[in-house]
Amino acid sequence: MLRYVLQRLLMTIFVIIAAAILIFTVMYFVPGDPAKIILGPEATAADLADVRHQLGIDRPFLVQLGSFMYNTFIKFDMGTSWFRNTSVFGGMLERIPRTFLLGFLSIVLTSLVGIPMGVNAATHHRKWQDKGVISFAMVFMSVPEFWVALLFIIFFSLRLNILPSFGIGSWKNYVLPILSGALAGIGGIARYTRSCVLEVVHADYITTARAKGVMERKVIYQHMLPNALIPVLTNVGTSFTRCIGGTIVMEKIFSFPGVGLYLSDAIASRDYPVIRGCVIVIAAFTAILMLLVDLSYGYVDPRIKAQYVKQSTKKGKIKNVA
Amino acid sequence: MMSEKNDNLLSVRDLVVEYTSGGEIIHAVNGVSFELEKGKTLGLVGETGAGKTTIAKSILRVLLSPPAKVKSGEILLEGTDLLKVREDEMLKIRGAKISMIFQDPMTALNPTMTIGNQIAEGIRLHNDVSALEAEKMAIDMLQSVRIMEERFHEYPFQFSGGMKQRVVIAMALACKPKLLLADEPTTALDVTIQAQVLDTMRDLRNQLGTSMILITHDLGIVAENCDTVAVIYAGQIVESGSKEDIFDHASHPYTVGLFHSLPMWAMGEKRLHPIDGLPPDPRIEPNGCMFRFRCPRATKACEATVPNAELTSGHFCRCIAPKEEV
Amino acid sequence: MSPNSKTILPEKNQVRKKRKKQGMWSQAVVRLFHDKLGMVGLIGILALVLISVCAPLIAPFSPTEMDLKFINAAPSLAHPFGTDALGRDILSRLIYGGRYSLAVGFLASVVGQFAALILGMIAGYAGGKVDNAIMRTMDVIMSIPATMISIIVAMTFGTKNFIGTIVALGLGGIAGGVRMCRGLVLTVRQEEYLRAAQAINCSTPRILFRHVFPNIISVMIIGMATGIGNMIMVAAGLSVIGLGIQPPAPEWGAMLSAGRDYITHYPHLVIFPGLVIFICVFFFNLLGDGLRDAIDPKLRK
Repeated sequence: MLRYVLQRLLMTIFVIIAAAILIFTVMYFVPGDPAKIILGPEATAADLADVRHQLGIDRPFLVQLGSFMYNTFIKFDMGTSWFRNTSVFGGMLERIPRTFLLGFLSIVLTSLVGIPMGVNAATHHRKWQDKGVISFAMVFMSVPEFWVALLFIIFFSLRLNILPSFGIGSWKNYVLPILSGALAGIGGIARYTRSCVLEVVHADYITTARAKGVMERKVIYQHMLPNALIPVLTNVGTSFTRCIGGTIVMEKIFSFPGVGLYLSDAIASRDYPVIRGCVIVIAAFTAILMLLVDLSYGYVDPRIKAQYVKQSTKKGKIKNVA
Repeated sequence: MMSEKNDNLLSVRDLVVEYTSGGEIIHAVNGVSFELEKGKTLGLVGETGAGKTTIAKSILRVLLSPPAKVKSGEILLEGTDLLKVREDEMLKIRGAKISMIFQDPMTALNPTMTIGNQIAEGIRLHNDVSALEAEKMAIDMLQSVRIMEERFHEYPFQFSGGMKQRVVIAMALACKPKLLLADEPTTALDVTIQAQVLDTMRDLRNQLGTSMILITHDLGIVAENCDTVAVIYAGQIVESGSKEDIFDHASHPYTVGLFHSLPMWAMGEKRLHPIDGLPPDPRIEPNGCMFRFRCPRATKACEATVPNAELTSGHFCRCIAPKEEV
Repeated sequence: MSPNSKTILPEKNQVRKKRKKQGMWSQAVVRLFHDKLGMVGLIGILALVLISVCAPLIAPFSPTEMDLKFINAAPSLAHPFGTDALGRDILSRLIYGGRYSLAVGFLASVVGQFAALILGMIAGYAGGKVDNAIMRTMDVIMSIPATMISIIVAMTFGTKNFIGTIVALGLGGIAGGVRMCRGLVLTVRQEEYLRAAQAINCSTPRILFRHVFPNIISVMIIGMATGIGNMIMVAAGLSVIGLGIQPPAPEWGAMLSAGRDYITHYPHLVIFPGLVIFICVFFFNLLGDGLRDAIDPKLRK
């Protein structure tokens, strides 16, 4: 077990570092001279060279990459924003909790609504409940998130004036972004859950359970769901990462000061250190999330669990029984 | 006749089951009747798709509906019609009075539940016992199918096919049912394991006095395990009787054909004689003798309804020209 | 042989003939035509394509014609969807905008699926180090949300570049596609018929294209159909944050994001472009579902 976890952890670290290298390299080749971006089009050649030297971008690519990696992962220094003159790392620390909370609440809402919807559809296969869920899911999945967000603003903020449309300050600021962020996810999760449960509904061991005289409700909760929901778990994980990706647009629309808005503002002003920082943070977050999903997968699925408990099996088993 | 009836554990009368698939009706079981005496074993023999499994599942009422629907008939277990029993009472019958063994042990066990818990689950449902007692009883059951106690907490994927089927048997017999429905219990297993599993089943059944309906297409297994035999073709019983009636005096051309297509019966001959053609399309409304399309003895008269004639006492044959096999 | 067994023979032959005619694809097409929702999607998409192709014939106004008497006008008989901040007719702009949005969605989806197909097939078929290299790269890419990949690539290509947008969108979801494609190749590789092909000395490209490819292509087609809708949505999202196709091009997402500034008083500027995107994505999702059921009836149930 420990070995598996360590292995998976190493993989995660590798992915994060590789993502950092990738983003640095890509940004290095983005057309446009950073010094010109900072100083504007009318800067003199001498000033430009000066700024280039200050930023260290007159050094060879590999040296730059090396010092970037060293600063980021050893000194936890992601540089200073070119335009705000504040530490990127500090900016991140301030914004990450907000974005995380937003994404987390969205995914909780998504799962709480989507999974029961899917289960309900599958257990009433081809009846009206099923058709209703399928239609809703289809509509939810097709609605562009940012459009829903704008409609919510029009309706709740401008017409009814009950919820704020931008900024941060009270819990009310979270309501609309969470709602609009969850909508598309609900459709997707409901559909996925439905198909996972349907796959299990016809399984032989469900008939076996019924043949034992198990009540229908228990058949669903004890036999169908544990098997059907294992793959759903991964789906929730990937939905979470999609949610975080989606926050870039969502935070822009709601002027919600999280990592997403930080990033889109940085893109607009070409603030490279901030862009790099945001991408690395989001990549690290996603990689860690996938690690957690994988580990919990092992925990719920005995087939995978057994694979990494193998070494200690014999002793453990006898103890268990005794 | 009357005195015999009292010994009947189960009688099925005129059972008709249909499936609806894409707007079409599939006639799976078309008026099947049979009796099973206490403690005896009935062999249901027939090709794939003849409706054997459907019969077993309708007895236990575990057919998925839709698409399946029992159109008519009676299934009497000790006088009570199971088709009329309320669902909550049926829950007490399933697993306690009647239980079932399924064809494929690979898929019949819940992959995320330990085998011990799967056996104990049924025990707790039907006996008023604590979790600990149920566990003990389940361990006893495991041992009686020759699986070590230590494996109680293991999951199905850690077992071989033969062992899984023994677990399924332990599960099915855990509550000492009166009737066991065994749906091709050995088809999915290696030949060497088959005998072992069948032995386990026979020993346990003898201990508990359980009656059994054994569904199979393997006449060899029927010969070794059954008291009476019913041969099914296209959802109808075409011939039924004691094992001797069927094996020594096969009269229906389909039964005869079945024996001819077996290597062991054809031992003296140079080659096997398969039955020509394929089973009829189950979407066709059953009419007359459904075997007439493949029957070497078929005549115009076969298109009319063929009565189920009693040849000798207890030996029935649904053919207008039954022929004693020489 | 009795006379009766002869009477049954013609029936058998009929069955055989009927079966022979239906190939895998024609069967799928027949199934799709019987799927009501799938057909709604297909007809809807064809209608949208037709409308954008014939835009000059249908649109009541030119998409760039400014009418300063009607700025931000609410929907009326003359301008059914109203006009925008420069007095341009929104309906006409939406009709023309379909050209951009549909083209971007279609091309991005094709580019993405095609790249995923090639990489996935190489990884799955070559195995070993090549497989490892490709898949680890995909792991890294997968750890970055698709939207962000698109954003980064779009920045690299510059923001006002049509082809750049397409590549950016296409590469966004590539990792999932590569993984799926590789998985399919690995499954197919284990099948007996591939062993048989290897046993008779089929060359590798031949095995890839005659045996592996047809098995994968159906899955890719399904992915493409749903992908187009998704791409249109992501493209619009990119416009919102200032990447992707920019105004004044009448792209749906660009129109929506331009209308954002006037949302307080003129909500119709965002309602109608969003509605069109929604309907379009909805049609593509319906078609994608229909295609999946039609091509792979095993998945249906």
